Amino acid sequence: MARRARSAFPLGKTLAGLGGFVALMVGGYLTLGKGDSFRTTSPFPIKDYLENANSLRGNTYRLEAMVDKTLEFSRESGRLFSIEAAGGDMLPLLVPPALSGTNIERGQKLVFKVQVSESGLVTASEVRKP
Amino acid sequence: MRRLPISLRGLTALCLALPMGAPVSAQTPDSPAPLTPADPSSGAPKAPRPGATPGPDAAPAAPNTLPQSPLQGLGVPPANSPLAPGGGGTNNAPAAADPANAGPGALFDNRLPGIDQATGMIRFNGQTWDVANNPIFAANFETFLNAPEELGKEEEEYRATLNRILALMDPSVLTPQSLTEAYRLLNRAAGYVGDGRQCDALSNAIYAVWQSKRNQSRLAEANQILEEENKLRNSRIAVKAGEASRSTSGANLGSSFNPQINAPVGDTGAAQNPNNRNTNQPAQPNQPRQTPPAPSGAPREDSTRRNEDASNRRDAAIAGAGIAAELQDKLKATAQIKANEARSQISELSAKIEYQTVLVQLFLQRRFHHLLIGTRFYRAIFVNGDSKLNLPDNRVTQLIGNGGTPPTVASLELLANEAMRRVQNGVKSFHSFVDLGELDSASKRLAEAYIIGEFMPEIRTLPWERKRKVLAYTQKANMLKAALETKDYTLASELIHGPNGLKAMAKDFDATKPNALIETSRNMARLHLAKARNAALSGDKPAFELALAEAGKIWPNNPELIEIATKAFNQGDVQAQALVELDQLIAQKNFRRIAEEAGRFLAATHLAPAEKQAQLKAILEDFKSIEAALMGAKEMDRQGNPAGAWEAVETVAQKFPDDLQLAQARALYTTKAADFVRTVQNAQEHDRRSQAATSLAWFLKAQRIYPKSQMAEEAIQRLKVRLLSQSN
Repeated sequence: MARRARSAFPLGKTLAGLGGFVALMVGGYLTLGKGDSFRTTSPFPIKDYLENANSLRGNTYRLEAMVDKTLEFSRESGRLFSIEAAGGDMLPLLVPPALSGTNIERGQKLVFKVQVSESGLVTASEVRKP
Repeated sequence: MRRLPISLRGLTALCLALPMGAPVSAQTPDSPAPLTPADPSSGAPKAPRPGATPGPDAAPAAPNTLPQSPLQGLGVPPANSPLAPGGGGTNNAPAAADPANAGPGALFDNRLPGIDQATGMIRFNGQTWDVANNPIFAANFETFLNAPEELGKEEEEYRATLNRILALMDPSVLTPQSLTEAYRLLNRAAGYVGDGRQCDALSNAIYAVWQSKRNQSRLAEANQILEEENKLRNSRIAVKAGEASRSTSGANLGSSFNPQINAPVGDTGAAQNPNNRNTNQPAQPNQPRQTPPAPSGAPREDSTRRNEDASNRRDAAIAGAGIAAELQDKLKATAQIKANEARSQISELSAKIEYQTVLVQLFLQRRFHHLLIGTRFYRAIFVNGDSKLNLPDNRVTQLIGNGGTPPTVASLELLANEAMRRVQNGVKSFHSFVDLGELDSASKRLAEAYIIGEFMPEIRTLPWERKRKVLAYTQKANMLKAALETKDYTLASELIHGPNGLKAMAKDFDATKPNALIETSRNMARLHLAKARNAALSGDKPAFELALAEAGKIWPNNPELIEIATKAFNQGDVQAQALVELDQLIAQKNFRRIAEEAGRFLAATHLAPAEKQAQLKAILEDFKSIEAALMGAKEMDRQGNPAGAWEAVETVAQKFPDDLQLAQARALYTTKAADFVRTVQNAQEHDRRSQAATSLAWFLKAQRIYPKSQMAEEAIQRLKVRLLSQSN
């Protein structure tokens, strides 16, 4: 009989905890997740890209990498960077003139929203710090 | 076949035998040279044959009756001789002295043929040739030298027969019986093969003369008969003339028959000469009858008288006709006598000319003993003492005649005797020279004697061993001539100075001229070879070839020339081989092998076309870059930079994919720098697929691996520009 008494479920505490978790989740979504496009973008498939860029043309990806160096600059085309992705793979990244307001420097870790252009070049459409 | 050359040489022998214008009388016709074999006793090992009669040398030789030129002994003709240059010849032959006067085909070019012993040159019929270099003479002489001596039984019998004939025909013992015996022996001697039927020809000529003589006798007999007939006719004419005269005087018609008047003009008999008692005597009785005048008579007497007159006239006419017939016969007989006399004379002259022609032929063929026999027969059968040669061509007679004297049979005999004496002296000299070991002089004297007296026993019986010595020397001398003509001075020098050379064979061999020629040619050839060497050292190919050709012209078989030419040939051969090999290595792109033997190929292409030289130069320059790349790679690898080493090798290897060393190094560094190599290869693969962005990505990765990569840097620079331009 005594054993039965010990297995009584603390319903109140459980419900309170569950309610708090739900509230936290809702509050987080409302405060942080609402309007973040990077969050819903697929990571850039580097291996696939290095194998064949043609299959990725037109797709938009999220790419987090460190800036290696500036390769070329053109007013019309923008800035061409060499970036080092995770795993040590190197990629050329074109930052169009629309993103000229963003300072990109060597060694910075940045998150890019990128699109594979017709020529296969990875072109940033958005950039932000991680 | 042998007639012509014998005849030609016979003529030359004539001139060799006799100094022109100097008649000789070495022997009288009564003491001819008997046919004896060579007498080598004076210096020769062989003794005279037993029983042989002494040679002409034993006979007292009369001295030359005319002064001789001091040059005569040297074979140089005297100045007034036709043999002398520009010599006018004898006074009686001005036309012969001037070749310009010679018509086309004139015999002997109107000049006497002759030999100059100083130079060995013979002039004959307007041409000059060298006895020593005359192939016909050389061949005949060598044949003679190699032939065994003619000492057989037949030869001895033949010579004995000819000697017997000469003895029988000796004028001091000549009888009709000995003449007949000599003629018989002459026919016997004609059977010997070596005689060449000369005795037969002589015998035929003698027979022809005898035949002519018999004809003359018969003609003389016929003329005697005709003369006797003419005498009878004269008698008959005289009788008939008397009868006619009587008949005419009986008729007495105031006319008379005078045979002296009416006789034919051509009658040389009694009719023309009234004082001829033999022929006019029958006519004399008529004269008294003519003297008394005819008495006048009665008519009857007149009639009777007229009848008698008529009868007398008929008788006179008949007698006249008989006389005329007799005279006609007499004329015919007289003409026949004259014709026979002329025929006899012509027959004799013809036989004499024929015989003299045979004698001249024997002389020209140098059958001197036959000639002597012929002259003795001549004197025996032509007893009138006329020995003048009646030859139709006086050019030949000019040869035989001496100093303008008319040529005679005696001239021929004298010339033959002199020729025989010369041959005998020449043979004696030959033996002396052989004994002294002076084969050069021996061969010359023998050649001269052989030219003159090829058929003389002194020549035919020369010992074979002695002739062989001269033959060996002559052959070697001929070899020397041939070697000098072909400019084979090595052989010529050996022939002169070798252990069995000419100087060793003949003490008197004069090597001055050949030695001078050899040394001069050697020096000239060496000079040109030195020029060739200098040209070769300076790389002057045309000058080298020219100098070599000049040296070859002077001395074709020069050992030094052969050595240089062989070297040049081998060099050319090596050069050609190197060029072929170079082409093969270039085709194989085996430049390392070319570079390893750069010196050989550079030398080979030195004379090759400019394109080939440029090609080799480029190959060697490329090879330098290969070597530099390999050395650089090796050093980078040593410093722990295999990627750099690979890149250094790879860059050059793309240019020289077939180089083995590069391939090996490439394989080595590919293993050591696998990541870099794979990255670069991926980049290059994307670049080839025109995927510039991914190619650039790979090159960027390669640069990350090997930051100093030139290959990556160049690609990045190229690709980034392309990508930016595509992005506009």
